Amino acid sequence: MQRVWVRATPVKLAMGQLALLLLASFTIFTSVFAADVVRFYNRSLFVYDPNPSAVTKYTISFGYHTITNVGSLDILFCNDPIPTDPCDAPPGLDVSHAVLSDQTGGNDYTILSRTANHIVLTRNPDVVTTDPSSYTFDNVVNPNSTAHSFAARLSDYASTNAAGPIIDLGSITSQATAGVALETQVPPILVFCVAHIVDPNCNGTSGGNYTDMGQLSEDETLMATSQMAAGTNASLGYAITVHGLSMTAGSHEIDALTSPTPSAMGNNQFGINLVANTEPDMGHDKDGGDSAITVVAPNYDIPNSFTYNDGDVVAEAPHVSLVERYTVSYIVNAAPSLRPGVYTTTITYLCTGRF
Amino acid sequence: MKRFLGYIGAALSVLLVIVSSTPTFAADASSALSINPRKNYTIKPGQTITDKLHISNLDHASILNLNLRMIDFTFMNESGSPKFNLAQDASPTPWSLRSFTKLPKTVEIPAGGSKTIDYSITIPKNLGAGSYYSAIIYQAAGTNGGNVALNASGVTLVFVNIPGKAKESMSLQKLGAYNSDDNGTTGSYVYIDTNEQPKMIAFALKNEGNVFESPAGQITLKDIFGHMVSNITVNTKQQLALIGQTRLFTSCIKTKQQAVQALGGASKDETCINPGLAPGLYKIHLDVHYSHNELGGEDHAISGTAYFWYLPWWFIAVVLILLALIAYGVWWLRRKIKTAIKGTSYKAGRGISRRKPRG
Repeated sequence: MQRVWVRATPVKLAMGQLALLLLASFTIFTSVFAADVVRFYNRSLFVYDPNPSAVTKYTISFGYHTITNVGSLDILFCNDPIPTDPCDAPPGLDVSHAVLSDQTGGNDYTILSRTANHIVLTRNPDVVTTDPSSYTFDNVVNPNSTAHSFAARLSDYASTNAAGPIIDLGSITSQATAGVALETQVPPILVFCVAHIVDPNCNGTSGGNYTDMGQLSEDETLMATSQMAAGTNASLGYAITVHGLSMTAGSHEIDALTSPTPSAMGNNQFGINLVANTEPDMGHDKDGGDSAITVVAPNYDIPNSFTYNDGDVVAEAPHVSLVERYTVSYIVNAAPSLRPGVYTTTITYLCTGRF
Repeated sequence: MKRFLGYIGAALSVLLVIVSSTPTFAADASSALSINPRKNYTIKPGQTITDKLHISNLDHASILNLNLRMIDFTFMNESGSPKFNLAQDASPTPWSLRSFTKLPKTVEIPAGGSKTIDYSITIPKNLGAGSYYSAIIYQAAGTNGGNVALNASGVTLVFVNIPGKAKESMSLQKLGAYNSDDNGTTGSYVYIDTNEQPKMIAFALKNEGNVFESPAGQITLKDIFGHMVSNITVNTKQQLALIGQTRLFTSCIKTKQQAVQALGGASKDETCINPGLAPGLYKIHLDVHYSHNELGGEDHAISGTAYFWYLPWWFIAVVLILLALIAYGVWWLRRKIKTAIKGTSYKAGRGISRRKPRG
């Protein structure tokens, strides 16, 4: 056996390095975009016979935003259109015998699975186009109530079984009604929750809404944390402001830190921040939603520095954002001269759309 | 027996005191809600509109008790974040809708449930044309106790335009390249950028009228040779400049969406990316207009021009090296010339002549 060594010329080496660089760039580029979830556009649901409990046809239409390989389409019917909310099936609705009778645009789908409120379409993964797509299902039974709207939650996947990362998503709401078909896109909604601990999607909270921080002492920093989560489909995003006085006992007040300042025992200090800290060891960075879009206000985003100003914006999202969770850390320090008393405060977090 | 009962009573009292003084958490009450973030109306003087507010309790385990009321707001610096006045006895702003609005004071929503409530706005007959705005605050009934009590509140911004002859007036305060690490949420103008290419163009307009405005238009960016680098449609999201506000409007020179489209794909990601500027001087030209045609207003235009330099350090270094090389070349050339004319003499008016050998 003979080994043959080929000496690479500088040109070959450069070409090889360039190819590797391009490959790496392409990999990074594609992985970055794979992480983006955007909305289907021009979504609609046409109900051929809108009467309650009618056996009818549904045509779901939309445009794919992300032009990539799509292998499956998930259609989930729920009372609530918000994709992160738990899905309660619309009473009476039944798509378990639905037949895919027509499809345009991104086509070649067949039904992979059906339940009363869930259809998964599958196909050999292929690149979708920007042309509007529509899918007509025969043999669908309408919800039996005209009192509540219902929604079709849509999402597409590269896999053929609606597993793995979502590419695009979007919801359509509709309502069974006597004689009039309603179709609409989801209106702007703002989701917000606050508690000691909140679920990333605001579906549950725990730990209550107040906490005893303990005994004030010049030798100890009192600490507490709370959480809040917010998200919106409004195009201008949201802002969270904080309101309330510093900690007071009668007419005596522990001074709030009006600019970011490290915690220092033996001084009168009250402050918060929304970032993971090491001194003291508390808090957590924002998590759960669109971390690339949401922004913690600069003064509240400095580890180990705390501040508090009534009315400050503490976090915001300038665009549409999935529900993002923020952890707020509170510190209180007391000077030896602090007058004894029970120091308390009520902090109001206010979440609003932007204009 | 009486003494025994007395001991028992005392023991129970002590136990009660101990239990009541032990730090505890509040019984869980929901503070998780979803609401409509914004409502827009055009209402004629003397007209009443009735609309619905949809509120959901996202917590599937606890009841949500909300207190509702109208509050006033204004702007917070140059951003689109509102600044609220939460005081119960706050004086109304000149643009307040508080006294024109009727809505329920409280709402109770079962765990995981939703409610739709009616509210109405009545505009007085004698109210002049312009914009009016306030906000509906939904305050989750808080708990009292502990050192730090939390309250969660959601807000619906309500904007009303009243048709008629309103005062519309905006002026350009600032225009230039803009550096921001968070897609325009915070940042600063830049005139000579040496670190990285500016990714945004920003302008600030002051609203001196009595209506909120949403300007629209274009920004063109040209290089030193007059070539078009970018043509940007501004304020595509219809952001508002409130009454009295100097509002900052930022736009990406190039978005990720545009980069993906150039590659044949589609994306809605509007994150600013590196626009690929070459070092040099750039000219920004702004053309925007604003009007409330629906109120019977005229179209108003604003234009402006600004410049910025993009001079990265590597470019400055290259220029300095080139200058150094040129300086060295000139020095070297002069030296060569001197060497060449060594042994010659130069006299004004006679040119160079060879010296006569001695002897």
